Amino acid sequence: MYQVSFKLKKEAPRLEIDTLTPDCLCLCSAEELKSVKIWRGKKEVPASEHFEVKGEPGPTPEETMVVIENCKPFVHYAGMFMSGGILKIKGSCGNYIGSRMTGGLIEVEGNVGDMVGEEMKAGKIVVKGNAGNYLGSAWWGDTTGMTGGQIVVEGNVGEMCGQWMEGGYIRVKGNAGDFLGVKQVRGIILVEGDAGYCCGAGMTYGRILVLGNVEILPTYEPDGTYEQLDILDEIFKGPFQLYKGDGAEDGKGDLYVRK
Amino acid sequence: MMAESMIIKGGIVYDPLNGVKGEKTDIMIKDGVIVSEVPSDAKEVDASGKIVAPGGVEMHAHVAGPKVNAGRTLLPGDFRRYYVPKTDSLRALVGYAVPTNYTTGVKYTELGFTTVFEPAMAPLDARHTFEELEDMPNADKAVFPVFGNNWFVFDCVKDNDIEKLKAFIAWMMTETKGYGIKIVNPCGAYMWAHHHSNVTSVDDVVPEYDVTPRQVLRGLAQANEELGLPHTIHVHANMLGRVGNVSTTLDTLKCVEDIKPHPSREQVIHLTHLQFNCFGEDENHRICSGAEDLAEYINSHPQVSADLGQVIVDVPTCTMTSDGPAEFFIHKALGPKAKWINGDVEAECGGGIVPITYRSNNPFNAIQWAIGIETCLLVKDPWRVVITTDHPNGGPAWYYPRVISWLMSKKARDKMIETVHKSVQDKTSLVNLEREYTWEEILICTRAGPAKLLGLKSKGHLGEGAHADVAIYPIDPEKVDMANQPEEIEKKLWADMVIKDGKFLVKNGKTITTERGRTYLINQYYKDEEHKRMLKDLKEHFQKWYSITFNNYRIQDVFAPRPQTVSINPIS
Amino acid sequence: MVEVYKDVVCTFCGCLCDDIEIHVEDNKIVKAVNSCAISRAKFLGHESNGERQVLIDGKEASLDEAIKKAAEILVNAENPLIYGLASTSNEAIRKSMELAEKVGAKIDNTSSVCHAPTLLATQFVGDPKCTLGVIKNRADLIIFWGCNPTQAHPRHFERYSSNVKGYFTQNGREDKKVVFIDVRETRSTSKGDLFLKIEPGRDFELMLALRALLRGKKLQKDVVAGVKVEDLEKIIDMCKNAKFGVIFFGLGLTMSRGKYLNIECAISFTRELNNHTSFLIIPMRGHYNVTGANSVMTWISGYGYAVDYSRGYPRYSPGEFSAVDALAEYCDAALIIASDPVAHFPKNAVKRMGDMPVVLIDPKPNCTSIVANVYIPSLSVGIETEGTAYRMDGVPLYTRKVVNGPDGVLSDEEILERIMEEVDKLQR
Repeated sequence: MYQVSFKLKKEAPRLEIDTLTPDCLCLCSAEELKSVKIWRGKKEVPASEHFEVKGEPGPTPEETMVVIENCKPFVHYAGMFMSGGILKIKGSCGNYIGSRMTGGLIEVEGNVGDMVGEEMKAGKIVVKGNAGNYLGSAWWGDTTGMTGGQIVVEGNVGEMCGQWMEGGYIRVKGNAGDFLGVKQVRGIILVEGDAGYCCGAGMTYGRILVLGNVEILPTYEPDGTYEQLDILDEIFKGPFQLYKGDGAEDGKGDLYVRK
Repeated sequence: MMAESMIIKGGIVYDPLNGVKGEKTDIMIKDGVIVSEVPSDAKEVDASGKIVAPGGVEMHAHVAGPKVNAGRTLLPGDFRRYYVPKTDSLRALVGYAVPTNYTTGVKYTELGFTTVFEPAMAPLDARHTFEELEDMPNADKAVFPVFGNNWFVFDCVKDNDIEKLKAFIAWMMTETKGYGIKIVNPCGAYMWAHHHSNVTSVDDVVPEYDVTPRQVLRGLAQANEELGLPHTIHVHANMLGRVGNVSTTLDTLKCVEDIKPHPSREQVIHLTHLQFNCFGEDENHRICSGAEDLAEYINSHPQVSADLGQVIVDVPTCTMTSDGPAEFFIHKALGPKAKWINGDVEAECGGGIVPITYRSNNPFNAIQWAIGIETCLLVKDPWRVVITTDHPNGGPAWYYPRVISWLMSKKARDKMIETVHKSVQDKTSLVNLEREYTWEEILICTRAGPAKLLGLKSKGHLGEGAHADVAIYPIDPEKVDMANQPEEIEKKLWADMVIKDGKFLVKNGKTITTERGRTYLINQYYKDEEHKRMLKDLKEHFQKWYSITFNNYRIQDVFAPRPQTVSINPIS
Repeated sequence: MVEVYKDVVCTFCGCLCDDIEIHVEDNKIVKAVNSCAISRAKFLGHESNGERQVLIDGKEASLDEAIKKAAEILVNAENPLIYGLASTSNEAIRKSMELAEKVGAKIDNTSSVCHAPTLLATQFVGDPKCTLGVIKNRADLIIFWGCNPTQAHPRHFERYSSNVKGYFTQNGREDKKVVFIDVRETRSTSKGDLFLKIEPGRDFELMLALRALLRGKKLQKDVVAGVKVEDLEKIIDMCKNAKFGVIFFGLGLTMSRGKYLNIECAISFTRELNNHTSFLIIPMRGHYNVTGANSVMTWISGYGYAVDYSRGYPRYSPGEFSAVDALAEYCDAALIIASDPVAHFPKNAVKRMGDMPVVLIDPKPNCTSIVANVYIPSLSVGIETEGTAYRMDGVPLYTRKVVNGPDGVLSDEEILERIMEEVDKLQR
C-alpha cells in the first residue's frame, strides 16, 4: 500500500481538509501533492503551508493510505466523500469526519467532533476516543441518515447518535448521550455502556441494544426476554429484555436492554 | 449603460405573431426595442445557422413568496447538492428544484425566458412576494393575487353584486400591485381552513356564506371580463390530484361558457396546470387519462386556454399551492416521512407545501407524466395551450428542453414510455399519438401564445416596437432533424445568446451580467362611486376579520421600483 | 404642534402590533396610544439612553473613517462573522447577505439562540401553520406551551388569541378553551382553563406520550414528566373535540433539553391531530423581525441561519457556523448588526470577542460597544426610518418613520451599502 502523510506543523483557527483523502490524492505527482489546496477560513492555501507532506500516493484510492499526524480538533471535514483506501488520523479532529463516505476505512486515534459518518453509505470508521453529537445521523433537513457501513467508537458518544439511521451498524463501547437512535428507521446500534434520556424516541424499525443502564420511555412496550443475542456473528450474553416501540410513531423497533 | 443599437444578422427567425416562420432575416434593435432601421454603426451580431426567437414568456411558475420560501426551507439538501460559487460578475448560484431567487432569474435567462409570472400570491403576503421578486434578476414579472376563497368575494357573490366585486378586484390589484385574478380551488381552501374538509364539486355549498364554487367562478369571470383586466381568470380547479377529477374540471369550464369575453380577446378562462386536473377514472376506480375529454372540450371551445403543468419523473421537487386540502391529501398519500407545511391566510386563502419525487415506476405518477404531453398533442390550437411544469410542482422549469423534446419527437416519447410504468400504455392514448410539434408551434406555446393570453403587447414577438427580448438558440432547423435527434433539442434549447431590452445578458451560453426587470401591475380603481361604496363595507370587513389594520394593507411603491402600469378597460 | 401618526407598527416583539398611535411634538414622541408597557417604553424612551457618536477604539471619529475601518476589518479577516439582524429591517438583512458573500463571512441571526430549533424542526418535518388572523377568527382551543405571553407578548391575547372576538368565536374568550403547559406558574398560566405543570426538561417525553395516546396506545407509566396520564387523556379529548386548535410555543420548548426534537415532536403531534380536526402550530417569536431574518436568509442562500460564505457559496451547519460556536472557536473578526452578543452570549464566546476586531452597528450603544473597535450608530427602524418586518406568523408589514434621526446618522441599510463600496475598493 502506498502512503502519504501530512504532519500538522502550523496551527490555524480552522482548517478544512476535505481534499486530503485517498480519492483526491491518488495519482498525484510529488509536485502536485505539495500544491494540494485546503481551506483555511475563506482562503484556499496549499496543504504544505500547514502540513509537512511526505510519501507517494498510489494509482487508485484503494491502494492509498493517507495519514494525518499530530491532528487537532480545529481540523474539519477529513475523509468527506471518501470511496476507498485508508485515512489514519493521529490525534483528535473536528466535525463531519467521513461524512457521506461510500467506502474505505477511517481510523482516528483521539476524539472526534459532531456529525461523524453523517449519511455514510458504506465503509468503516473507527474512533479510539470519544465522539460528539449526531454520529451516523442525517444532515439538517434530510430524513435519511447513515444507510450502510460501520462506525465503532471506543469511548463515549454525544447526543442524537444514529438519528434517522437507515442501515449499517454503530457500536459504542462507552456510554451514549441523550436521544440515542432517535427516529431510527433501520440498522443496528449497540451501546456497551449506559444510554441517556429518551433512548429510541420516534424509532420505527431497526434495533438498539443497551448493555448498561437506560430509562425506558413510557411509549415502549415490553415484549419478551432473550438469553443471548447474535449481532453480526458476535454473541452477547443476556438475559435481555426486549421493548417494542416507539408507540408514538406506531413503531416496530426493537430495544434490547440487558437485565 | 445605454442599450446600444444592434443588428442580429443571418439568423433563422421565428416570430409566429407576425407570421415569420423560420426565415433568414435580420432583427434590428435600438433603445431597447425592435425597430425597422438602425444607424450604420449598429453593432452586428452573427446568428447564422441559429434560431432567433422572441424571449420566452413563463406564465405560471412559483418563483417568489412565502410558500416558495417555505419550499426552500423544506429542501436544504437541494442547496447542499447544487451550488456554483460566486464569480466576478455573478453571485453564488444555489439550489435546484426551488433555488434561490437569484438562481431562478439566472436560470430562466439561460433558458431564453425573459418574462416570468408568479401565479399565486396571498394578498396579505404581497410585500414578501415583491421583496423576493426584486431579488430575482433579469426577468420582467407580475403576480396574480388569489381571489377564489376571499371572504369579501364571497360576500359580493352571495349578493350577486358584480359592481362591488369589480370595485374590490380593482382595489385589490392596486393595493397589492397585482396583474390578474388567480382562483385556487374556489371555496375549497375556505372549507379546509374552517371546516377541515374540501369541496367535491362546483355545486358544494359553503355553509356560512351560502355560495358555491360555481357562483364564485362565474362572478369573478364576469367581473374580470367587464373590468377588462389584461388576462382572463387564471383557474386552478377543484379536486386537484383526485382520481376522476376531469369531470369537475369540465364542470368548471362549463360554468363560464356563457360569459361574454372582453372585446379585446376570445378567452374567458385559463385552466392552469391542466395535468393535475385531468385524471379520469376507470371501471376499477383507478386513475386513467382524461386527456381526450379535456382536449375535445378545449378544441371545441375557443373561450378556454390552458397550460400543461407537465410532470417530470425521478427528480426531487416540491409541490406548493394555495390549495390547503390538496396538499394535506398529498402528504397523507406520501406516507409518514413526507414533510408538510400548511399555511392558511386570514379571510383570503390557504396554502400548502409538500416535497415530492414523482416516480417513473409508480403507475399513478407515470400516468400523470403522460397526461401533460398527451393533452398538449391533442389540443389542435397551439395558441391556447402553454408549456409549463407549474414550476416546481410538476418539476423544475429547467426541464423545458426535455418536455419540448417529447413534443417534437415521437422517438423521444417512445423511449420514455419504455422506461416508465406500463400503465401509460393502456391507461392513456399517448402511444397512439403521431403528432410532432414544429418549431413554430413550440415557439407559440412558449412565447407568442402566453404573451397573447396574458395581454402583453410588447412581449412574445419581434415586430416593430416590441421589447428587444431575443433568445438565440444554437440549432439550425434545416440541418438538424429534431424528430430523429431529440437529444439535440435537450442540449441546445439552452440559449446561446439572450438579449433583454437590447442588452446582452447571455453570451456563448453563459450569463455575463444581470439586470433588474420591470414589474407589470395594475394601478387603477374602479368607478368612483362604486369604489367608495365598496370601501365602506371593506373597512368594516377589515376591522372585524383581519389581524392587521386597513391602512397597513396597501403595499408601498418601493416594493415595485420599476413599475410598468397596465390599464384596465372596463366596458360600461 | 402635535403630529399624530396612526396605525404605526411597533417594532419590539414578534407581535408587530400595527395599530399604535404615536403623537410627536418637536420631533419628540410624547404619547403612544394602544401600546403595551414595553412598546410605550420603547417609543417614549427611545432617545433617553446613549449618545450616538461614531467611535473607533473608543475615540470619536468620522463616519467615513469608521466605514473604511469596518471594511478593512472584514476584508482582512480569515473567518469574519456577521451577526445580529433580528432587530433591523429586511432591506438591511438583504444588504448584510450581499456583504457576507462579498467578504466570505459567516452570517447568523439571533434566532440561533432562540427559535432556530423551530426552523430545524421545520426542515425535518414541515410546519402546519396559519396567520394569526385565522386563529382570531377560528380557534376554539389554544394551547400555550413553554411561553409567557402576558410578559413577553403583552397584546397577544387581546389581538390574536384567547380574548379576541372572531368570525367563529363572536363571544371572544367564552368561546375558547385555553391551556397552559409550563414548568412553573407564570402570570399567564392563571388565565387559562387548565394548567399542566411539568417537570423541567421533560417536554419531549410528554409530547411523545401525547402522541402515543392519540394513536390509542396504552402507556407503561401512570405519571409522565410529572403529569398524570389521566390529565393527558383529558388534553387529548379536548384536542380531538375542538373545531380548530392551535399550539403556541416559546423558548421553554425550543431551548430546553431536546431542542429541535421537542419542536419536531410538537409538529408531528399537530400533524397527527389533523387526522381528527384542524390543528396548527405557531412559534412565539421574540425579536420583531427575527422571522424576517430567517426568511431573507432562506431566499438568498437557501438556509435560514448559520450560513458560511467562505467558499464563495452558502454552506449551512448549525453548531459550526452559528454565532456562539464560531465566536468561541475560530472567528477572527465580527460585525454585529442591531444586537448585543456580549450581554447574552456564553463567557468563552464573549472572551474571544474581546481579543478580535469587532464592528457594531446599532441605534444604541450597548454592552457590545464596550468591546467594539468600531461603533457606528444607526437609525432606529420603525421610529426614525422605514423598513419591512415580518410578524411571528410571517405576515410582512412596513414599519414607519415618525421622527427624524440625528443629523448624519444613517440607516443600517445605508451603512452596509457604504461598507460594501469600501470592500469593493479594497478587493479590486
